[in-house]
Amino acid sequence: MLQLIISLVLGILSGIITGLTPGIHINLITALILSIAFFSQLPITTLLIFIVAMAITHTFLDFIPAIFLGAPDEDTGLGVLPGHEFLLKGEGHHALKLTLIGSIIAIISLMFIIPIFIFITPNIYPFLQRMMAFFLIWTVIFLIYNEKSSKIKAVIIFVLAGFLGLSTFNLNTNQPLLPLLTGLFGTSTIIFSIKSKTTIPKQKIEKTKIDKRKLIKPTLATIFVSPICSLLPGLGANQATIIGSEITGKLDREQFLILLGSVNTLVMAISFVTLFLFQKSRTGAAFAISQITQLSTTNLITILAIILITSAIIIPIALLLSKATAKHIHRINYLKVSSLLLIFLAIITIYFTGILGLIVLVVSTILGLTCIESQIRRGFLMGAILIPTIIYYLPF
Amino acid sequence: MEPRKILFLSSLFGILVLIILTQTLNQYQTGEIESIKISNNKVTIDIKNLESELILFGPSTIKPKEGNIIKFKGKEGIYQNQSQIIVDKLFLLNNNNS
Repeated sequence: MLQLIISLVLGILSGIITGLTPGIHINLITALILSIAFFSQLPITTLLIFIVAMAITHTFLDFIPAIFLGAPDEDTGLGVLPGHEFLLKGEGHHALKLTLIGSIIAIISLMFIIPIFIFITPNIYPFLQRMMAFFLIWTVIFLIYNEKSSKIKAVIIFVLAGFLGLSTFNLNTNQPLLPLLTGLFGTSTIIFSIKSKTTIPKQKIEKTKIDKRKLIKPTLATIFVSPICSLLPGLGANQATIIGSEITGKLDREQFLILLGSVNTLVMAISFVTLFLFQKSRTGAAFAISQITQLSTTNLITILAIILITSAIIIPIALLLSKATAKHIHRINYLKVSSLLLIFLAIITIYFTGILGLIVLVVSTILGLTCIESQIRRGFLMGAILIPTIIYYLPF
Repeated sequence: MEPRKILFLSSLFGILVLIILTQTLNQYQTGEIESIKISNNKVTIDIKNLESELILFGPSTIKPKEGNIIKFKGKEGIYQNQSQIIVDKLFLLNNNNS
């Protein structure tokens, strides 16, 4: 029993470190864990608890560097812009609380979704797989149709991002999403902040008041889209958020952050159920588990219990960490921190993806800056993932 | 020139460089199958005189056998200290199946 508690605590601590480290995605860490021989000697349940606790903790915390430093990981890219806007208004802590509300919605929804998911998905899986390309094309058409500024510019950015994504995925490099999304959403935002000499105002730490009706749209979008995106390869939290926001109609900045938080957590949580049902791993954490055991019903129940326990522990910790960051962020020299962050992200990229990854980082940063300068919605940069995904799913 | 135009042209140039890199670096390799292991959802192939083993995930219409000459390309990586190539494309060269 003591070993299990230690495993849970160590998992949470590791998740806190990975979640707070800019640019680090949980997939990188799980890949690293699998390669360390020590971990393969531990009992399966101990490892399961460690991996699940770390993964869930990570999804609660990875918005902190995305919002306060503009440095996202693979799942929080879309959160940078609205999060940064809140930060510049002195509401960074409020933005983080919105993503936490999303994560809480995800955990509550999970308990309702699982029975339906287990019962329905095996029957509709082949149909979903056949329809996904058309569904994504429909989403893209809606994205472009709803663009208020230049539609032509938006299409050009979207197509260019698509070419960038296709060439990146075809390069012989590990973790291609790391330089791609860091460049498109992270380093480009940081460089733009440096260029515009951004200063961070004193952050307000106030009680968040949110109209409960505002939660309806993000909740519905999460419940509908996350299970589908957890089921099908090539679809992650970012795609799920884009599809979800298009399905439910216009979402304001607060609702968008809630949706992003909930999708991020739910996609991770459901990936364990997908592994149990179909033996398919859709996240790095699920892949790590697939390498150590074939999930039994008891394992799945253990995982669900760990998700609940971890969430209950991490919510107050996340609030404390966000509050502490918000209290001090205006005192730091943001330009200096941003410059150091750029160097750090470049080093991480070289370490995990080599020189080819660095080239991808540079090109995607330039494309990200082009999008900012052209005043086009940054969502169009997701063409880098959507176009390769559409091509993957096209049935001909 | 406007910064926006410079950025746009630089993006075009960078993407072009990446496309060229993709086409020059990710070439097909050819080799003879030394041994082959088939499990539920993956096929592991050892190639003569190649350190990395080839991994194919999911169902495949191709049924390679020992002694077949194959042409393949994919992503190289290391898993549990073993060098692997996750195969994207694979063709049989001395068999009618492909």
